Amino acid sequence: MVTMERLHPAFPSYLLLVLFGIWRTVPQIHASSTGLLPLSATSFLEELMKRYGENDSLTLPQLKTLLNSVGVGRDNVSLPKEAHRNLSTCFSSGDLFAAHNFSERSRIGKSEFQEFCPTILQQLDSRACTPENQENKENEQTEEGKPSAIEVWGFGFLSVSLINLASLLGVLVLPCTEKAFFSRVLTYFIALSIGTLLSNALFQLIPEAFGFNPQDNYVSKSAVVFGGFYLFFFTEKILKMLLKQKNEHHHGHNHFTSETLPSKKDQEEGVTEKLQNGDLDHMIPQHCNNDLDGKAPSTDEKVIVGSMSVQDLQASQSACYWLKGVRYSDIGTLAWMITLSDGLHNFIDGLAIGASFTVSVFQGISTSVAILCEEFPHELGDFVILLNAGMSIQQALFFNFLSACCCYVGLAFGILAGSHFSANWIFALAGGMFLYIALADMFPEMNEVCQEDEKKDSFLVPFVIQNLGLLTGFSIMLVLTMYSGQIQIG
Amino acid sequence: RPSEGPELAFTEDVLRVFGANQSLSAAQLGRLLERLGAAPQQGALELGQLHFNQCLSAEDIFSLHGFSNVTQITSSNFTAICPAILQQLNFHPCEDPQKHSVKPSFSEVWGYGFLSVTIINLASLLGLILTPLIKKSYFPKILTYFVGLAIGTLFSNAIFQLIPEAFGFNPKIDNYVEKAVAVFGGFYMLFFVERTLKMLLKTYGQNDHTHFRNDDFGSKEKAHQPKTLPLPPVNGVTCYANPAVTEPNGHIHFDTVSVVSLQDGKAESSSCTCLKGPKLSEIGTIAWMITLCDALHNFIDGLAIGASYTLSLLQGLSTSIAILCEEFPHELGDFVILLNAGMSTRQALLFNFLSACSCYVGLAFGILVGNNFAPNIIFALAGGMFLYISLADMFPEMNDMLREKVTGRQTDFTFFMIQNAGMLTGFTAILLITLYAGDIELQ
Repeated sequence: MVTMERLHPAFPSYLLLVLFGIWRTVPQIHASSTGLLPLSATSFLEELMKRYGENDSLTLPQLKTLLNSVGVGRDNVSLPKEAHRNLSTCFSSGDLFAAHNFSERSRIGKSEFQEFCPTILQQLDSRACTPENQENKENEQTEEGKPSAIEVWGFGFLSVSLINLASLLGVLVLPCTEKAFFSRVLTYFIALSIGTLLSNALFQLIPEAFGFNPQDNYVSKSAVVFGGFYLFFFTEKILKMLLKQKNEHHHGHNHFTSETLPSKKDQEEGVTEKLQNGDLDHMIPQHCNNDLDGKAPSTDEKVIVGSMSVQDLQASQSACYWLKGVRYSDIGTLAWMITLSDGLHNFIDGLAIGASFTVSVFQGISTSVAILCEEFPHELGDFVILLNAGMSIQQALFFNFLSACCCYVGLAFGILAGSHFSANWIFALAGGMFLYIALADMFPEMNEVCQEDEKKDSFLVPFVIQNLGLLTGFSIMLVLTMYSGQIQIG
Repeated sequence: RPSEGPELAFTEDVLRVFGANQSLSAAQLGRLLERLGAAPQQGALELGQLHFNQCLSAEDIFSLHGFSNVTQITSSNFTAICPAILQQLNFHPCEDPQKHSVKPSFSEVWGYGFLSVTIINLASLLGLILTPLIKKSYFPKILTYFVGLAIGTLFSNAIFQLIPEAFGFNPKIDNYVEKAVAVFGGFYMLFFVERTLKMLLKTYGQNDHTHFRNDDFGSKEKAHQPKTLPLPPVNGVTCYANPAVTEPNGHIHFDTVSVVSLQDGKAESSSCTCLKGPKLSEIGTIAWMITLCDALHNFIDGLAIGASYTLSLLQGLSTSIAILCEEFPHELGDFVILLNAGMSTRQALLFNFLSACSCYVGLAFGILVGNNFAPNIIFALAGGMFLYISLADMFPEMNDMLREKVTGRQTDFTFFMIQNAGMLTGFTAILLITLYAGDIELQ
């Protein structure tokens, strides 16, 4: 309707232009026929007709075959709701035919094909149908689906608040800190966070940074990248399990013949390192060993920590106070170490969440899910460490919450940066950071949490728990990514 | 004819972008051909031999249609030349020569692949040359640098080459290279800040803890023997070999062990025999552990090298460089551990070389799979594996290596700088290879 209105006044001019064009072309064709190349000008057209059609004409399916061979006229592409025409629009072959008034039974001769040819060329030139270069189309879709500022800030704040509640969950889980059970639960959650962080980086952040749109081809490639990581992890663990059993005999001997004392520095730095990584298994036994050794010395047998209740915490707190002298400086150092390191993590998490929400609400939710899985074991581990350092429950909660609030700062930075600059840069940075957190920080932590378990009883249980966590995280992100195009949120 | 309006819009779009005043000149048509990928690389071809395999320039198309070079193409006569452009695009006459020149030949793939793997496997023999250096005080620093270099090259190769290759990217697209740099930047920034934070806080905490812990330790020492701390892992694979290897020798970490000479080896062997039973079974267990884990690494390395060489010589060379950087500290560490397990120098070299040879098997698999199927799958697998090796295996090793060595903030800072130098060297090497992939012409 609009098109008809626009073209109606120009109709006479158009008709004159066509007539003028025809008149102007005829002499040139005549001049060409008198030259040495009488058929050269039309040989291109004839060759295309010969290859795809018959008798110097094409049927509509034959023309569709030609379109497919040059990569335009994809029928699977859905039109934007506002069907305005611009360079970046990829039309289906049906739409292209309709624009030229071709029906299913039309036969396209030389003249009809010449009229249709610029259509094919324009689609090719705009590269709107090329999968590798759909940035323009993606930007267009993004603009249409881009959430409003209120949605971005609202959903972002809500997600960060939900994530920060993880820092308060320590109180609820406190009665469950019976050692054997607790270490396995923690192992599962650490592995879950590794799976979600790694998968989020591979499925969402890095492809988003590279300019991809979620499609089956790319999702399968990302899944194989995770497969490469997982295959290596699985095989190495199996080898360790099998070969270590052979070594069990040697371990027994080593235990009895060991005369070397670990250096004080090595022991202390080991403790500090484990504090940094939030390793619980080594922290709890050592602390209680010190406590019990002071009261009732025991020989080579290792003391196994029983369940830890609030009352026990208070007792150990006073004991630590007596043993370590100045309580404030000790707690201060430990608290600042955890607070600053955790704050850094949370700031980056907020950055990724903020940038993700500027792209789409769904993208933000997906990133938030990955970070929530990582946040729970992280904050829980920090909470228990702070308690064992002699803090009261109120103090531990306060410091944990303090570091968690850095997430809001990161959220604000992420939203502002995502709105003013291209969000791809933040995704690239966050992708690298997630890889680091997943593989360089949490992976060694998972192994160290399991070491105690592996020495005590079977190797299989921790291994299975690790696998369950990794694959659960992988599956969550895979499902979110595959159905990102179908789920409509906000 | 109102319905003909939309049909004209396509032509108008093309003329608007590449031309002026609704018309195209010969140069502008050349730009259109170049953008679409149909522009010829060499000069114009003979007109008389026209058929669909000829690659034509813009001037050729003009003259064939009877237009002079100064003719302005308008909407009406654009339809006359449009089939020529489409024919060039459809039959790809301008692309075939490039494809043939880029893909290496069969003999080149196998030859260069075998040569690369052989050079890489020589790293397993470097332990012999460097044995005298192991006793030096600067050996841990050298090893730290090489581990950092390995992390930088493996991670960068995964981010710059393997994963983008799996996704179907071309390195010539600058936008993607910059984004990959940002991915490394995210990883590196977090490493830098966290490491700095640890350095500052740990030193302070150490001073505070040392005083009180000394008292505790003294009291504990009187009461009973202290518990042995878990030993740091090496390469994430040989961590379980350390108790058997180091404690009988009275050493905590392989960095500080002295290399046994042949005579000491014999004495040590008799001692081990008395304490641990048959010498062969003990050495066998440790040797097989290291050999199998190392062989797994090397097989996958060979797989990545083979698939990379099927794609292009430069791609294979880049992957080989990354693996060479990883192989050197890896094999050297294994060599030292084998020596301390009581092996002779020849035995250690034999087992190291044995595991290194699995790289050839991986190479063969990689080339065969790369030729018969799409190599993207191998690149994706290798990308994930390289991320694992660099971050989950070697990164903890780099940190654990320093626990024994760091005695204060000054020493901590020194090792930190060495780590940075190694990682940034690896990053820079792979980045340069990626950036100039299009410019470097091998053979």
